[in-house]
Amino acid sequence: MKYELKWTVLAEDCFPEDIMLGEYDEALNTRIKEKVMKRMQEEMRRKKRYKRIRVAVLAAVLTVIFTVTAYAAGLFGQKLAPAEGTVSGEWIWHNEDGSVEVQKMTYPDAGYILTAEDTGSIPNQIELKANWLPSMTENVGKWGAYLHDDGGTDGPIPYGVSVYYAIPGFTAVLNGEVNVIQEESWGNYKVTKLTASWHPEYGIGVQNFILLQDELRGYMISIGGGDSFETLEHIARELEVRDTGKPVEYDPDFNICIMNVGRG
Amino acid sequence: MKSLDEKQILHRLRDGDAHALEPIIDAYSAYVYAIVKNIIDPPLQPEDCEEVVSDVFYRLWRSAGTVMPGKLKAWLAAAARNRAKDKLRSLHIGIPLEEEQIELEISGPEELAELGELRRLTRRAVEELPEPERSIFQRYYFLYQKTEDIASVMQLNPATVRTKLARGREKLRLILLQGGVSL
Repeated sequence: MKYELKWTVLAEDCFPEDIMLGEYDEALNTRIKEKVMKRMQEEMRRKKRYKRIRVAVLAAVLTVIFTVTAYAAGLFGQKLAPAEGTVSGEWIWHNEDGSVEVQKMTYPDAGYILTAEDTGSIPNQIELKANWLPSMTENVGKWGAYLHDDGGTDGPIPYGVSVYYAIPGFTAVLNGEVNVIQEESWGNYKVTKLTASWHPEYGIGVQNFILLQDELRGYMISIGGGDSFETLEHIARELEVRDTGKPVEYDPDFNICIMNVGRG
Repeated sequence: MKSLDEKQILHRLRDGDAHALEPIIDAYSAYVYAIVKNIIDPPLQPEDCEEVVSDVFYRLWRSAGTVMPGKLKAWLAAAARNRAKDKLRSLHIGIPLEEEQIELEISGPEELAELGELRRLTRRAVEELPEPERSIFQRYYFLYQKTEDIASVMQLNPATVRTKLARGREKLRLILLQGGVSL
C-alpha cells in the first residue's frame, strides 16, 4: 500500500541549531511581554479554586518585572500554588539506632509558595530587635532570632516574627486562601503584604503577613498573625536587624516548612 | 543579543520566577516571530503573528518543567511551528507552502506508527547532506522560509535554491532507501 507523506512532516526533527532568524527588535519584545502578561492575568481570572487567588498578585509581580522600577528583585521566587496536585517536600529523620526515616510532608492547602533562589552563597544569620511591640513588651529592646506572641491557648495568634534564609532547595509554604494586598519597597527590602485564611472553622481565622525580603543579604523576615496590618507594620518598621557574621547552618533534611503562625 | 545561562534561567522559570521570561523573550522573540511569519503571513497579519508569538512564550511559562537546558531554542522553534499551524487550522486555512511529498510503501497502519523512527532517520540523513543542500532543506522544510528569502540570506539565485532543494530531496530518498525504508 502506498502512502504519501509530506517532507515537512518528515523534517519535524530536523531542527537547525546553527541557523538564527530575525533581527533584535526592542519594540516587539515589549509588546510580546505585555501580551504574555495579559495571558497570565486571564488565566488567573479563569481559574476556579477554593483558594481564589487574586489576579492582582500576578499582575503586581509582573508589572514589577516587565517595567523599570526601583523594586528589589527579591531572593525568593514567589508563586501561586499549583491548581492540581499538592505541594510537598521531605523531612529526613536520623534515628538513634542509625536508621533513616523519610517523612513526606504534603501541603494540600498550599496557597502560596516561596522557593529560595540560588544566590550563589550562603547567607549570614541575622538577629532581630523589636523597638516596639503591642504585647509581650518585656521583649522590646532585646536581640533574638525570632519574636512570638501566641495569645494563650486558643483563638487568634497576635503575631510572630520569623526569619527565612535563601538556601537553595528550601521552600516556605503559606497555607490557605491567599490574597496579596500590596507590594512595595522599603529601602533595601522588597515588601509584600498578604493575607492567608486557613481553617477558619478552627478559630484561627485570617492571618495578615508582611514579608520583608533582602536580596543582597539573602533573608526574608515574616511578620504575621491575627493583628491588623497597622499593628504588624508598626512592628516591622520598628525592627532592627544585625548581621551575626556567622553563615546560616542549614539542615537540608528539613527543606520545607509552613509560614502560617501557629502554636507549638 | 545577550548570551543566556539557560540552566539558571530554566531553573528560575520552573520555580515560578516570571523574571526569567524576560531575557528569553529578549533573546528569542524575533526568532520565534520569523518562524511564525514564515508560516502564517500571508494570509494573516503581523498582529496575528504577535498573538501566536506571545502564545509560544506563554506556553513556555506553563511548560518550563519540561524544557531541558540546551534545548530551549529547539523547543521554541517547534512550538512556533506548531502554534502557527494551529492558528491556520483554527481558521480553516491551508499551510501556504509548496508541498512536495514522498511516497512510502507501507504494509499496514502499524508502519505509520513508526513515523517517529522515520523522522529520526530523516534527521540523520539530513545531517549527512552536504552544504548548502542541508541548510536549504532545513530552512525550507523546518523553518518554512520561502525560496526567495533563502536565496537572499544565502546569497544564491532563487532558481539555484530550488534546484539544490530538489537534489537534496533525491539524496535523502537514497539515504532513506539505504536505511531500509521502502519508497
